[in-house]
This record gives sequence, C-alpha cells and structure tokens, in this order.
Amino acid sequence: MPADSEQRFYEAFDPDAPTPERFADVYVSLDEARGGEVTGQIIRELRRANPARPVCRLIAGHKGCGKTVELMHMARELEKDGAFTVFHWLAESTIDLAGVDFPDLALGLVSGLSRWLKDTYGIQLKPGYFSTLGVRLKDYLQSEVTIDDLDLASGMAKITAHIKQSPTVRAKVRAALDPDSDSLLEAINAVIGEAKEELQRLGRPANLVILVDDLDKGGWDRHPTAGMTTGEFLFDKRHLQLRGLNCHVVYVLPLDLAYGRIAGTLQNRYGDIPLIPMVEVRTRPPAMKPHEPGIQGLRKLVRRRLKMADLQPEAAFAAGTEETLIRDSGGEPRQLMHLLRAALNYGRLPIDQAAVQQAIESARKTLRRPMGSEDWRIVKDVGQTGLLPKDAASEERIRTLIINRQILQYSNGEEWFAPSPLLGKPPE
Amino acid sequence: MDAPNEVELGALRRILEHSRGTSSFTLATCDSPALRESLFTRLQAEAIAFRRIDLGIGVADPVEEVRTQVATAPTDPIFITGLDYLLADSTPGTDGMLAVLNRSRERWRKAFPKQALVFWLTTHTSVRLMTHAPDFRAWVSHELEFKDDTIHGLRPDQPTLSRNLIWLSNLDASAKRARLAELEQRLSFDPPDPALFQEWARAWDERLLILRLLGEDRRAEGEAKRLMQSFQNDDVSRQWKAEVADHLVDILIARRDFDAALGILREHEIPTYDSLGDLRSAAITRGKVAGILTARGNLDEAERILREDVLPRLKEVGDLRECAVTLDQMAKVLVARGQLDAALKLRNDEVLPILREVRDDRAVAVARCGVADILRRKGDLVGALQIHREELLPLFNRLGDLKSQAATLSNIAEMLQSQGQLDEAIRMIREEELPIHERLGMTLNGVMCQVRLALALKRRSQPVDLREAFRIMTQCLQTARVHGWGEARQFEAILLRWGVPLDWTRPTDLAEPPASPRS
Repeated sequence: MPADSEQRFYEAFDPDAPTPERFADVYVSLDEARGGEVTGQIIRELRRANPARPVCRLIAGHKGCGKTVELMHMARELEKDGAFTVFHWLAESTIDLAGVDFPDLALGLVSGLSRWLKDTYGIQLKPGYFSTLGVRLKDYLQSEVTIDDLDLASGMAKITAHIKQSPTVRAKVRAALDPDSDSLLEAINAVIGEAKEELQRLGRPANLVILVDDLDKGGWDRHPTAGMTTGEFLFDKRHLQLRGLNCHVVYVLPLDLAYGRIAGTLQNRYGDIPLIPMVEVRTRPPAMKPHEPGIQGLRKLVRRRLKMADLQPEAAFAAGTEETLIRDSGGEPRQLMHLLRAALNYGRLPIDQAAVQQAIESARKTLRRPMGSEDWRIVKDVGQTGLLPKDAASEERIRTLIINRQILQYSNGEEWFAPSPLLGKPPE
Repeated sequence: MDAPNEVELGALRRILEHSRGTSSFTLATCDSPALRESLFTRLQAEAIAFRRIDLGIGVADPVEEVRTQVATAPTDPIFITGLDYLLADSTPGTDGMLAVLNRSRERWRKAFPKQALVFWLTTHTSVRLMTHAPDFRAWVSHELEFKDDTIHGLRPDQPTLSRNLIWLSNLDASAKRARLAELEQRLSFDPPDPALFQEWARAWDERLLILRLLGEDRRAEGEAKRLMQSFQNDDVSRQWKAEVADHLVDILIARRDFDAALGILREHEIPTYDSLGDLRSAAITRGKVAGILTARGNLDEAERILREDVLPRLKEVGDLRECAVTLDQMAKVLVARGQLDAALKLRNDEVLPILREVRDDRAVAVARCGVADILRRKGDLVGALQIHREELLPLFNRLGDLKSQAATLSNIAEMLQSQGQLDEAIRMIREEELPIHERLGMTLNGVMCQVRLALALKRRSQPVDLREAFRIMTQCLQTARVHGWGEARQFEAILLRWGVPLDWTRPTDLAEPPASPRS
C-alpha cells in the first residue's frame, strides 16, 4: 500500500466535481484569476428579476474549466440569503444525452425535480398530466409503468430509466410526445407551480431556480430531419419550450454552439452567453509570460485541497514543482488535478522535478498525438496573435482543437486564445 | 524492458494501488500486442490482481459486455483489450460505437464504482477516441504509453475522419509507410496465439489495404495469396479468408481481369458468406458482381442481381445505407443504358433521401457527384460544375477527405476543358490536384492525373507543352509497367498515336517533338 499521506494526496486531487458535502472545503473563487466574474452577473440578474417573469440563461465553458463547480457555487450564493430555492440537476444522471430533445429532457427534468423535492424536503408532488403517461407510453416502454397517485417521483424514475436504457425506446417516446410539446410544457409548469406552493408551505423560498447541468455532453449527433446537430436543434428550434418554464433556468450549452454558426441566433434568443474561461496563468500571446494573479488563484485551490488532506505544502512539493504544474495546466483546473495525480504516479511525496516532467510529457504526448500539419499551422497562428483564424476552411479544425483543449480560451476584459502550454513547441 | 517502459509500468502499479476501491479510468497506449502481453505477465508474476476482458468483434455495448464478464470479481482492476477491433473497423458502425463510448463514462462509473479500469489501445485507436469521443477522453484520469522502439507510431493528419478506410486513404504517403512499419511489427507473432487471432487478422487486413492505397498491388496480391493458405477452416478463419479474397478481387478489378475477379467472387466469397449466414456481406459481394457486369456492359444481368439478389437481402438485414448504395449502382446501370432522366430521378428521389436520413455526409456527396455526372451527360455543364464547386469541394474540404477532393478537382478540370477553358484546367490539375496525389502517394489515381495533364498539354500544343506531355506520358507508361497495371496498354496506344517512341525518356532523345502526330 502507498504511504497514507500519498493516498490522502491522491484523494484530495480528485478531478471529479466535489460532492455537495465537500464543496465548501474545496471551493476557491477563481473569478479574479479568470479575469472577471462569470456567474456573478447571472446571480445579480436573478436577484433583480421578478419571479413572475422568469429568467432563462445559457452558460458555456471548456471541458474541465469548472462549470459544475461554478454552478454549485451559484446555487449556494443564491440560497444563502434565503430568497431562492435552487435545484442543480445533473441531467446525465437521469437521461441519455445522445440526440437529446425536449420531450426526454422534459421527462428527465420532472423526474429529477420530483425526486430531489422528495429526498430533500419530503415533498411528494401529484402526478397530474403524468398520471396517464405510463399507460400512454406502454407500447414503447415494453412494459406498463404505473404512476401512483401519491408518488410522481418513483413513477417518473421508472419511466426515465426505461427511456435512458434504449435508443429505440427514446426515439419512439420522442416521436410520440413531440406533437404534445406544448401540453408537456404546460404539464411541467404545473409540476413547477405545485413545487413552488409546497416549498412555500414549508417556509422555503418559492422563487425556484433550476440549473440544468451536463447538456454540453450531448448534442453532437445529426438531427434525423432538421439538417443540423441535435444540440443546435434543441437550443435553437426548441427555444420556446426551453424558455417557457415557469421558473428561472440556467442551461449549460455545448461549447461549440457558443462558437458555431448559430451563436448569434442563440444570443438573440437567450441573451449574452457567458463563457467560463481558463484561469489566466499567463499573459496574452505572443508574450505568454507567467501571470501572477492567475497562478496565485490556482495555488490557493491547490493549498485548500492540501489542507483538506492534512498535508503541508513542503511535504507535498519540492521547490518550484507546484508552480510548474500550475503554469503547464494552462489554467485549466481539471487538467491541473490530472497533472498532480500523474506526478504522484511517477514519483513520491514531495513531488520532484523528474516526476513533474514525466507527468507533463505524458500529457503532452496525448495532446500532440492526433495533430497534423494543418492543426499546427492554426496553433502557431493562435500563439502569435491570440486570435482564432477566421477562414471558413479551418472552422472544423479550430472547433476540434478547442474541444480537445489544444487551444484554450481566456478572458480579461476581452476574449483571447492561446495554445495549451502542454503542447510544447510546434514541430519543425 | 527499456527504461521508459519501466517508468510507465511503475506508474501503472501506483495507479492501481492509489485508486484501489475507487472508480478510475486509465488509457494505456501500446502498439505492440507482444509487449502488452509481456506487461500482463510481469504484473501477474508480481501477484498484482487484475481481470482481463477482451472485447471481440460484434460487441454492441462495451459497458454491458464487461459488466457481464466481471460480475464475479467486483473489486479487482479491469484491463480492457479489444477496443481496437471495435473502433478500427471500416464500417459505419464504428461511428456509432464512438458515439456510444463518448457518452459511456457515467455508465462505466455506475457499473464499476470501486474498480480501476485500464483501457489498452493502439496509438491509432487512442487518436480516434480523442477526436471522436472527447467527453470520454476528458474524464480519463491517467494516460500511459508503452512503446516498442522498433515501431514508429503514425502521425495521423486527418483527425476529422472517423472511418478507417477513409482515414487511411487520406494519410500522407509517409504516414502510410509508418503505419505499414507499425503493422509489420504487430504481425511478427506468426502463427498467432488463438487469443490474438482477430487482432492478427485485422492487422493483416489493414496491411493489405495500405499496400493497395500505396499502389503496391503486386506485393499485396502475393501476400494475400500466401495469407489465404494459412487460414484454418473454422468460421472465424473462413470469414477472414473471404475478407482477404476481397482484396484480391479489388486488385483484379483494377487490372481489368474481370473473369478472375468474378471467379473468386462466385466460387469463394459468396458461398463462404452464404454458408456463414452473413446476409449483409453476401449481398454486398453480389453487388460487386453486378458492378463488374455493369463495367462489361452486361446491364440486364447486373440490374437483375441488384434488384432480386442484393436489395431484398439488405432490406432484410435493415442496412439502409447499403440499400442506398445499391440503388445508386442501379442508377449507374440506367446511365450506362442512356436512361438519364430515370437515373436522375432514382438518385434524387430514393438514394439521396436515404443517405441523408442515415446522416452519411460523405455518401451524400458521392451520390451528388453521380447527379452532377448525369447533368454533364445531359449537357448541363453549368449545373454540374456548380455541384462540384459549391457543394462537393467545400464538403470534402470540411471532411478532410483529400482523395475525394482530388477526384472532384479532376471532374472540374475535365468540364473546364469541355468549355474550352484549357489554361485554367491545366493550372488546376498541375497546381491543385497533382500535389494532393503526390502527398497521398502516387497510385493509379495519381498516374491517371498525370495522364490527364499530359493530354491537356498536348491539346494546347505549345512546343514546351508537347515536350512536357511526352515526358509525362512516357513516365506514366513506365510506372504502369512496373506495377503491372492494365492501363499500360492504353498509355502505349496514346504514345504511338502521338508518334513518340515508347522508350523515349529524355527531351534530348528527340531533336524536336513530332509536329504533326498521326492522329
């Protein structure tokens, strides 16, 4: 068995989002280090908003930039002054995000919300519209699910489990409920209305906010008929339904939609789309010098987790290694967690330079492996200008480079881009 | 084992220790099965417990497959091999598998909440996973690379291409050679361990494909014939033998040796697939027979086979995409008969809607190319050019499909010549199309491009053009002779028609190019 301290180190730097119980122990605000607050503006907007005129916003960000953590923070901030009740829904836990469309999103949301209300506040919602859903979908679910008069949560859980399990069932349910989208929206709003009343009855704030997380993990498939991706279809063509919920909602948007051809349309429909950028651990290209406020921000994050593991910094890191890892992470929190764990795999505590170099080299190989000459041309260009090339022919490649985090996005008043430091020098 | 691999093995041991009792994902890249097996043996000798699960061809749901197999050992780390089989396939199913993997992370975690999962991949597959399953890749906790220094990993240049055949077709010639060297290493364990037979056979299949893509048909033919002798008589071996036979058929078709190709298809491949109950492969093979008959002008029989033998079988197995491909073959028969309106209607009303429904952008482009061909035959050059320039070129560019880009440029150049725009056609062939072939490796397609350039230069008939045309044409003849291509006879005929000696190799061989060719 490894030394106990190493095991604690390994567990402290888990790249997964923390559980709600551990959130307060690990959260560090990175707003300043990112070049400005992102969730803060949404929080202010929600606080100003009239509950009778719900706000619907989108938020996007790189994989691993900390979207889920920021949504958890947003939930805590909103709830702390007693004005809001916030449901943070990790959609992937309830529905399959492949080709997700409004009907399955709606059923998943009702299932998740009713389960959360039951588990958290003991609220049991009435099934209403959904009481006959099991019977209506009997032929597609391959079994009849009864939704008990008193238990919407259990019945919906059974239905969504069936739907999640099989793409064929999903497609059939979507087709069956699609013409019913407006009734479905009314039915969800009835559930939300009842939830608000019940919350109020328990003395909880009735001003409900739903944070719909994980929607950036699907939406790549082509829509069967619409000539666009399912993600584009959901956020563009279903905007009336997505914006029609009778409570405040924030949806996580796939990053490529925030840069893609319908970005302008989405802004018109939902307002500005805040992007959670990387932490600025370096300045804008071409200089790309170390940027102390960003390095400090991530150091704070590392130290917080070390404290949780009951480890002193000097017991964890040989001189300079912590900073090297922070700088080479490019300001991407999850990548930093991966690098820290990888360095531990290649050595012992305190982590020395050799282990750090092994960890960096391993990540570098992975990032460089799929890159061809055209990709390097784009990366070199971005490394010179801090901007994305505008030619249409490169659009697909640029999107892939951003999704794979070979190019990272930053923001300090203005948006700029830089190659991941892990890529190292371009080949000759 | 060398020092870098020892370091990686040490890291793997520590990953297994640290993550014991928790869920973790590790990607271990290793191109050499022999090295991978020796690593497993080392770990076993050190009493490090793990379960190995090998995913074979036909696994539809990797999570479920592994879950079923490890039900009895719920906490040991799990080493998963065989994803290469599932992801290196050149069928549309590969895309579906990548999509399944991309969304599978939560399912893995739920199914194995207390286990370290180590996915063993080749470089080739890890690249495809990174580019086509980024959500899965984003949550990988550890990445390791075990390297056999005698193997030079490929540098794929087209990450947007997900299918193996297209991906391989579009690799630079040097990357194709690198991949070939890598496969040679993988094939060094011969005869294969039964457990590794599928992997061995697939590597052979890919090797033959690359040889053909590099224009080395004779070498591919010799190796395919030798390989066929080494297969046993069990079902899996027979299936692979038929796959190898198909390479032979393609080589024979390229050589215009239609009788020999038909012989293999009718006497070996079709009976094999029929006896294995592989309806889909049997139908596609019958479609190949129809293709040869179409090329020979035996149109009625070709149509009958497509309509009665191929289409119903493909409908039975529910392969919509291949149904559309078969309908497109029927359109080709109609075109060959001169029934252009019927062919156009078939492509527009039946082929294209199906391909759009199955979301195969590349196949849609190929069918639109067929539509453009019909428009051209009907005299609508403007319409045909518009499809090539405004639809096909941008699409193939977006897909990174250089080979198809070259074919589109070739079509455009041909139409420009028909419009009398000879200078622009020559520029396009010389500056845009030919460099693509040079990059991909000069195969028959590349040589045909040179021939078209020579013909266009000859047509322009400036003295400097004539010299270049003769030089190119003579070179093409030599290349065709070296490779044993049937086109050599055509090239000879062209040179004879031009009055150029067949062994003319240097401009000094002729004081002046013949001013007035015989025809």
